[in-house]
Amino acid sequence: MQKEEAMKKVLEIIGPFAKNQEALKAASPATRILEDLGVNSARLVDIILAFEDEFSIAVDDEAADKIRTLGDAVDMIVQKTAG
Amino acid sequence: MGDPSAAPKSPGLTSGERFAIKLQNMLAQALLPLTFLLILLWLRLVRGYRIPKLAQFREGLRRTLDSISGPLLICPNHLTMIDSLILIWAMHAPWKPFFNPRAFPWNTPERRNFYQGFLLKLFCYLGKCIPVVRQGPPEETRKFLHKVRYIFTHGQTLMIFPEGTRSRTGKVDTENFTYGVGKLVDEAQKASLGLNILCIYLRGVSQDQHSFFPKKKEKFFLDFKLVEADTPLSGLRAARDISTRIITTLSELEAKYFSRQNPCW
Repeated sequence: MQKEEAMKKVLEIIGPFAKNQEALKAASPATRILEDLGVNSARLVDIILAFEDEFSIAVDDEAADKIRTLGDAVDMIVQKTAG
Repeated sequence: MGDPSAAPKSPGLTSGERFAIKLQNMLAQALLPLTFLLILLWLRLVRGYRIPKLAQFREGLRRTLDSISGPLLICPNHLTMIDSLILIWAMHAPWKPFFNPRAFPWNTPERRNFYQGFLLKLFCYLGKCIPVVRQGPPEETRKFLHKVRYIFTHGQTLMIFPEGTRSRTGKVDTENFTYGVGKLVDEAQKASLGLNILCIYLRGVSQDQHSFFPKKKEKFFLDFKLVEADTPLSGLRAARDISTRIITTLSELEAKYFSRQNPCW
């Protein structure tokens, strides 16, 4: 999967959880999911599970812990879907 | 604690860390008559708190706990900073925790709230507290989980607030709860520890929002229900499933409370 395609889907998934919609519109790979988009940390697990469903991948705790930015999420998805 | 040689090994903890938990348990139990008496006097005489139908609650709880075996996870709702003290007072006859360590649960206060100043730290230590850092580094969370597992391995009891923080709405927060407690339960189940989950609903009759302390002379309502700890799911989905089940149960107990005309008697 291409990074652009993954990014588009990631934004679709995170969108409903983002309190800061302005930051979502201006999102880049460096955008931090919790701090910049205002996603409640409690909902991060729901987002990761949505990634699993959308991309048919399995995300273990270690990989989940490393996701801080949109770029981290996209890189992980691209890597796992390539495997 | 129970006989360590009879318990499975606890991966993730050094022998020094295991010894520290055992020492804390031993000192807390040895000084419990003093700490329990001080807490009871403060709750009853200084704050003037009362629990109508206390004997009935304790009897119901005793019968329920007698019917199960294995370690116990207590999951109460959370409205004030002293909920765990009130619950420790309410759950058993005053003499019981002296002789049965399972009746004196381990607690999991947020480190930033409670670990300030020598006296509070000492109180937390003797109150069998294991500090937790909310949204802390993964390594610290893993260490916390290892400690909890060690406690469960010895058949002991842990109290944790599944909402993660005091409810800002005054009601059980069914929207913003974390899945940490579900993760903890799932790990215990994977290790075949036979964990039991007990949800307890505690509410001061005049408590309408969260607060530091309940109001003076408050009267408390209590109810409880056991929750199934097993789930067919795994990983994060298991954590979400179990956490949701616990929060739903607390919410149902709350609905039961608010449906009563006169909830305390």
